[in-house]
Amino acid sequence: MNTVVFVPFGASVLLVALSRILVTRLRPSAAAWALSTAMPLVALCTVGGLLVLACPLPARVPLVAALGRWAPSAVARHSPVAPLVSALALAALTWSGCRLCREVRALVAEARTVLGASSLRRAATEVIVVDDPVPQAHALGVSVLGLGRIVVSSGLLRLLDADERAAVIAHEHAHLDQHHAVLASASRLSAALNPLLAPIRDDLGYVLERSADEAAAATTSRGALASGIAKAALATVQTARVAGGAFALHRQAVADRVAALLAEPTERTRAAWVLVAVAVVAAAAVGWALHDTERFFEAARLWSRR
Amino acid sequence: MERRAFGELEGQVLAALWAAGRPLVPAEVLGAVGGDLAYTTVMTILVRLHDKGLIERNKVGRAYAYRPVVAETEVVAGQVRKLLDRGHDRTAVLQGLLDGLSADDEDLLRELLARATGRRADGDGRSS
Repeated sequence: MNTVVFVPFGASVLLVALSRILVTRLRPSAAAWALSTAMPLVALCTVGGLLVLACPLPARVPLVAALGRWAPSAVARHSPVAPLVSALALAALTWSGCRLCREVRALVAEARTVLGASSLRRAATEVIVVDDPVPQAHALGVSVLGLGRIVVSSGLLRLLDADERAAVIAHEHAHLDQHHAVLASASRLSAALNPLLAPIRDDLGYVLERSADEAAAATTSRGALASGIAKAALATVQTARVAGGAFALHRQAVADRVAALLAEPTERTRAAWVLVAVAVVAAAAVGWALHDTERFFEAARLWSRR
Repeated sequence: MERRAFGELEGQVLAALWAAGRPLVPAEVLGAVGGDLAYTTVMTILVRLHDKGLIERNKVGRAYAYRPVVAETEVVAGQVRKLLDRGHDRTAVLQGLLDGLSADDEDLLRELLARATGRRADGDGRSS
């Protein structure tokens, strides 16, 4: 068996480790781009790897073998993968498929709720204010076809001064402009396909917030955005309406973001290529393994003619 | 003025009216929004928001005083809550300002807020 078929699994673990290291060191927009490219690519590569491992087993079924015109006995005799490994890979593939379906259904339901919210008569403007004392702000959807909306609570607006309000609205606007809902959805689907990648979702979540922060700071004011976020966070902590455990690693994500805004912005972008390179290596390995598998079945077809 | 920028200004005027907590005349809105807006721009935005039914107005002396319409915000709030209540998992279609806030952060946040306020007092300016 060609052992390169296992490279995508190693690449998944490596990607998680690298993302942990790089997530706070890279320029947020570069990290967001690299992570949301590498994640789906590696997820697809693991599916490819599982396919390579799984396919010799169903190929022994006479009906499948008849369709492919190869001899089931020849496949069984020369199969490069042990039947147990194939069975495990088949089970993993089925599980991934089920997880993907569930995630897609959840995303569709979410998207429908967003569409419902943005088509309301009240939602004639991009910024929607809800009368709620709890300080909160959310970006809904993406700014395609005028669907994106920014939902801000009156409690937050009353807490902030004019510059802070402008900075916070610019932050939410950056989420919409940079299509963060699409990137977050892609990472969720990738993690559904390949659970090894799940820890990266939190990293990407943090990076997307930082990316929106930097975009808002560039057009409004760093200090105002920092104090606006800090004020809102303090008020939320004091009213004890904190959603617990959203981030495992970045437990102080909000505080980290404020601190990052008060520090000098990171300009490092080149290391982001390391993340993409991991995905490219995984893709090359899977390509090789798939090619080998194709050759095996070609050979199996020849044996059946003998 | 490009359309997107106009939409953002619209949001800022609406935000200023909500933040004020009392009816504002256009001159007060201008002050509350901050920045270097023209009076006529603010007037245009106020009229548009009024046409959309998002704000209402009363005659105060010679000018109109504007305030936000509170009714019906509950519908949108309900939709957002529906998304937030989708279990413990973060939703992909919705990015929250305070995602990942921990209850232990209070002291740290207080210190950071003091630093941010200090930085702004030193003239943070509109640099990047």
